[in-house]
Amino acid sequence: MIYFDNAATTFPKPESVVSEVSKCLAEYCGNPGRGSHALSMRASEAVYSARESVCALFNGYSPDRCIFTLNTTYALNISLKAAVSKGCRVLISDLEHNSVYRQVEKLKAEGIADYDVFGTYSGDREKIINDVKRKIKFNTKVLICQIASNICGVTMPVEEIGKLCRKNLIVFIADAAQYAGIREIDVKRMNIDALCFPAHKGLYGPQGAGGILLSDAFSENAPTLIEGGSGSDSLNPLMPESYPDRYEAGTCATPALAGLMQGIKFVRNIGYGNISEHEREMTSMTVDALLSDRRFEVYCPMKNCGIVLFNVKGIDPVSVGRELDARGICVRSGFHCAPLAHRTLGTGNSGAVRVSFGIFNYRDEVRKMLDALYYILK
Amino acid sequence: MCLISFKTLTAALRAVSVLKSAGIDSQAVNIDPNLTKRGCSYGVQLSCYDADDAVSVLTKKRVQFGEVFGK
Repeated sequence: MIYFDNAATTFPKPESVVSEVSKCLAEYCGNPGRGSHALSMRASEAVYSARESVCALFNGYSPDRCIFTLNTTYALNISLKAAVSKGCRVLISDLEHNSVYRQVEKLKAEGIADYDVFGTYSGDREKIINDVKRKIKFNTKVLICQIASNICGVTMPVEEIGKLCRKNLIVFIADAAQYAGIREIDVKRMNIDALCFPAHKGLYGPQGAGGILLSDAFSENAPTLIEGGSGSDSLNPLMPESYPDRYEAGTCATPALAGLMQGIKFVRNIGYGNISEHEREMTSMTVDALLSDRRFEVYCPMKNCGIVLFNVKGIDPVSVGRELDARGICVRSGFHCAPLAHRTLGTGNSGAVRVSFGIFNYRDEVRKMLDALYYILK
Repeated sequence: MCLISFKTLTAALRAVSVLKSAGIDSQAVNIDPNLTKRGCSYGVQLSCYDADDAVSVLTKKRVQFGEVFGK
């Protein structure tokens, strides 16, 4: 099998991740923060180590400002709902995933907050910044956007956006679903107030965990999304004010977090530079081949990332995906939970085929996929 | 033994990590809920000999803590 759907989730996982998850389940999977016995404390220490690893990787403010969630969508929901207030405006990009787009639509429908959209202009950084400046209004309170698109190679000028947000007292929520683990993120230098990330994509951890790194822009009484047991301050009928407990109701995914820590070690050992160069090589090979053949249409053909979005002219993307699957090649076809982004790229009616690379892909696999595409065209 | 209370287990574990870096051995523990009147609570257990230094380190590193018991 050839796996080219790493933007959805990376596969396979490093052996160190698999063995740590297994070890956790077999040896130390007590309920963290829910008891004084040795097994609970050992699980708590594992979760805390994961917080330290995440904080160090992204230069976070403090391990107790690292909130663990089920996934990036939960992280984005917690962050946005904590940051908005009645009557404010939210600024998003035109490439957002439904994890942001559906939230702002709901906030608008409920009369809580309206939103504006800034253009991404195929990644032209100057145009993006100018449009962000244009779209900031007197009551814009939150800017929430992906750092890298989940359907094409566009990345945001994060540092410049962060500076603008800081200057205008806007809370900056960054969706790092497609960026964390691929390139460096420094939340302090980039002025990111809430960095939302998954364990299971570029950090090569298991599914079932994600998180947020918060700055002190989020006060201790910011609204919560979910209430429940936190293992602390239990006589208080309200969620505790202290982080991370305020946003961690219910048992966290200890095995996934144990795996995440190993995933982070894996990424650090290989190095951002090697990972992004490896993905760039696969992307470059694919983009060059598809652009040289008029039977394909490639959208935002950038080579500096691990994603290629294309269509085969005259064949719907779902059929292309199905044909590739029949040949043992996993890609993702359709709208990728990002209808707003597809509208921006001109694929809002049909969707497209997305190929996304990871560290375990090789040039031979790209050649096999290209051969399969040429065969489908016959 | 002395005990320093914290609002969360994460804060207690962070304290253990910070104190270890400063050469002070300690251990995160659950503490008697009656001590804090807040229900399930956490603390860091350490030698009373190190307690003053520990408080100084935690303050310097901005690790928020509650009361110091046993001094």
